[in-house]
Amino acid sequence: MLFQFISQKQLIRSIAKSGVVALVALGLAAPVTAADNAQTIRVGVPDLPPGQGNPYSALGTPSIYTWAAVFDALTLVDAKGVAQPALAVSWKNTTPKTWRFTLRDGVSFSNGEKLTPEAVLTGFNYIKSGKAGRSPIVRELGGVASAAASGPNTVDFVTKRPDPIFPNRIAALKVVAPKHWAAKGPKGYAAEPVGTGSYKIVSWTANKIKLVAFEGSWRAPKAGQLEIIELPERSARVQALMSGQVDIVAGLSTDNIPSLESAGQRADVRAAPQVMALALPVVRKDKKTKKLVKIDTPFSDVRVRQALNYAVDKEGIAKGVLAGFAKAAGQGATPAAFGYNPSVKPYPYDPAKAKQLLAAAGHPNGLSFTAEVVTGAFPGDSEIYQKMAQDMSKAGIKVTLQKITFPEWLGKYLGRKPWDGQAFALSWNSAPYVDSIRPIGLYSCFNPFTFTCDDKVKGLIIKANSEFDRNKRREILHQIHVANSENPPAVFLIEQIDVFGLSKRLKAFNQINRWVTYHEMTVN
Amino acid sequence: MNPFLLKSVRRLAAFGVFLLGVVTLLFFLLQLTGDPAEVMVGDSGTPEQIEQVRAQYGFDRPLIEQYGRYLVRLSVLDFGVSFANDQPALNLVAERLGPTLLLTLLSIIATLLIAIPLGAWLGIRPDAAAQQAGGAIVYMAQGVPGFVAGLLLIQLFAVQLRWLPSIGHDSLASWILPTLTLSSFLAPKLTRVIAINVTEAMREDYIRTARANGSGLQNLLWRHALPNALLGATALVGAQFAFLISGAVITEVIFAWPGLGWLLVKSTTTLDFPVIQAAVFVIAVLVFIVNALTDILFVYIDPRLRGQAS
Repeated sequence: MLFQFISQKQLIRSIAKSGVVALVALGLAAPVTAADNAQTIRVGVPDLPPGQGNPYSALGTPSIYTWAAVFDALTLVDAKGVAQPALAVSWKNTTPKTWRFTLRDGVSFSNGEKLTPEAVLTGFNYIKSGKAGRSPIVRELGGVASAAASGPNTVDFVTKRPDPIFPNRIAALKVVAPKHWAAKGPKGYAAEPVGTGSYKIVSWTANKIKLVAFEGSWRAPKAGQLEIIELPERSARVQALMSGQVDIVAGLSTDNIPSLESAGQRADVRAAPQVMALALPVVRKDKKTKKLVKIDTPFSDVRVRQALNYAVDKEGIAKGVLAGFAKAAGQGATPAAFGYNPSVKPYPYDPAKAKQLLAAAGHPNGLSFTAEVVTGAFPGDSEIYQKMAQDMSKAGIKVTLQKITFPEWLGKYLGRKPWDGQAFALSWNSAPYVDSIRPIGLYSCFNPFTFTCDDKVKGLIIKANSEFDRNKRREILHQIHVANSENPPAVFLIEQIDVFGLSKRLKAFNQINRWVTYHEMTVN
Repeated sequence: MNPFLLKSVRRLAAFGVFLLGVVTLLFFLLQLTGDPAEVMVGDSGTPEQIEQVRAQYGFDRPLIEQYGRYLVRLSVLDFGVSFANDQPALNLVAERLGPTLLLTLLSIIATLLIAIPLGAWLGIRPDAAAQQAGGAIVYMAQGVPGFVAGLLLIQLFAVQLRWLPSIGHDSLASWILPTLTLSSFLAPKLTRVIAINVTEAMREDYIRTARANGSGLQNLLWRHALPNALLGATALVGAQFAFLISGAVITEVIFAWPGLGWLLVKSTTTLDFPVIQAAVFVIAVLVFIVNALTDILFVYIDPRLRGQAS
């Protein structure tokens, strides 16, 4: 054989030469130096704000992880759904439709501008100008008729109807530096955002925002720098945390917790202001007449909707899929949301009762339907829907899960395309103002794209929306939760959770409805 | 007309037709993915907001009119502005192109540095036990999905050993793992091609002649066998460029590498049509350029083709 004249030693020597060149060229042989990052908090998030630093371009995640460092609103809704002072120190009703906010003294923006009523009105006027067309805040503040300065340090908001939760609602409106906004416009401001928050942005690249402490902030931070890094892959976020490259990661799942803990890191798990549910449409709005039309569906019978709730082992989902970190849901609010009714319990898992109700409703052999769901939005959501379908099959209910993309879901939810299935996923989300009325409104006749309409709930919503006495209002919301439990517009599944991963060197982590309080945190 | 020039003009014209086909197909396919106006206003939008956004971006116009306007704008390389942040789509793509080209170039270099010596070693004595074992490992490596390779590399070098960063592209050290990951898409395949080519070359008569004339191993391998083996490898690298770009999409997402692939993924999930269209256009042009360069390189390294080209 020709190859016999070539010795193995010769070969290895020959190949080794190339190998060394390769290693040096790739830098593998070079030592990796550790950077001094003692005062830098690094945060890994699934996405940076898509609209960059325009605080009116987005409301919830992922933008909220950046807004929390840079911007403030007049109020901040706490973990119990109560508005707390932020840029406003107090507020009161001067008339049933007028809310007067007194601004905090001595607050500066990171460019040196002072907080004035004009600053508050700058953002409000933009939202109302029609130029903020697609901003989610347009709808949140749709009930405000006007706003004006009423003194050197006070701003009045006039609502179209009495609005008892306006101090919660206004938390969506971040305050911008007025001169900078006027000079740059929304697009320029997005590129060079300025706020009153703990940190100011020094650079914004495709995958990283670098911030430094704004020492003059009314909530000055303890750490010198902050970096917010886009890490779209969950596994990459986990590995970045485990390898010490970041201190906080958002958007994890419970199945990441064991590996984090085994690597000496920690997880912060707490209830999200959302209840995962499967909506059971019974009506639709006619596009021409705008009137509600009943849908021909088995869900029209309340016994069927109750049966579906009995047929799902929510406790099993909470324990099995989410490792016991979540709780079974029986209403459209989490305990954090104002108006949550602790006396409304989840439907117990009772397949026999479900069968009995189905038989009474004219479905002795069970029923089948298709549910359109979006997965990847919540920890374990795909498994949760599968477990739901599996449980329902034991009660004779055959559910076909049809996974669709979020854009597809939106098109259908917004009434622009028909649903292929009879049910669809829709969480009861009380964010951003953490009040039961928000998700209740979505599951009511008042939703512009409504799919359910209970007259009793409708009447109670009208009452709640004009009740300023907190206790009385809470009682009305309790009644709504009872009504929605007895006549469920959805299959209530579980109270969702937020899982953050934390490095062991990070101190004083806290998040309030996903608003991360960076200013309190330090790193060793 | 000079035959070479004529050939080039014909090829450019064919590419123009191909590009028109790509942008047209993409335009109509994107219409099937959903309505960007709905994504822009989100689930808290009102019917009025949706209509306002549709009118603002011209989505309320007849589709054929939208297509016509799109082609007119395209003729001056105007892809419009990103729906997400109002920045010109082509600028966003241009910003991300550099990191992707860097990653792709590094991975091609790494692939060559791994595949050429390894392929030569495997091919020169294919029946030896060590080469058989090595060949089996390369064969298995070819079956490992790129993202799995990436996650394994991160686990080993970033999490366990903490030698290398696994995110960003700020430092030379941060280039290593993404480069190796993307190399894993092509290196095993190229190694096997080179190994087979070297084995075949070593059986050729000219190798026997060179051996008979007293050529040593180094000379036989580097001067005679490898140049012939590399002809096929060059064609493979050129042909696999588009495949590498698709590998870059996965690699960029895993390593938070701010490149074109990652931008394309994000834009697809948010139905940011202008950015998707600009990115696909740029990728198509890139693939064309690389294929053309590969052909030129082929002429340069294959003496038989030099005569034909001239």
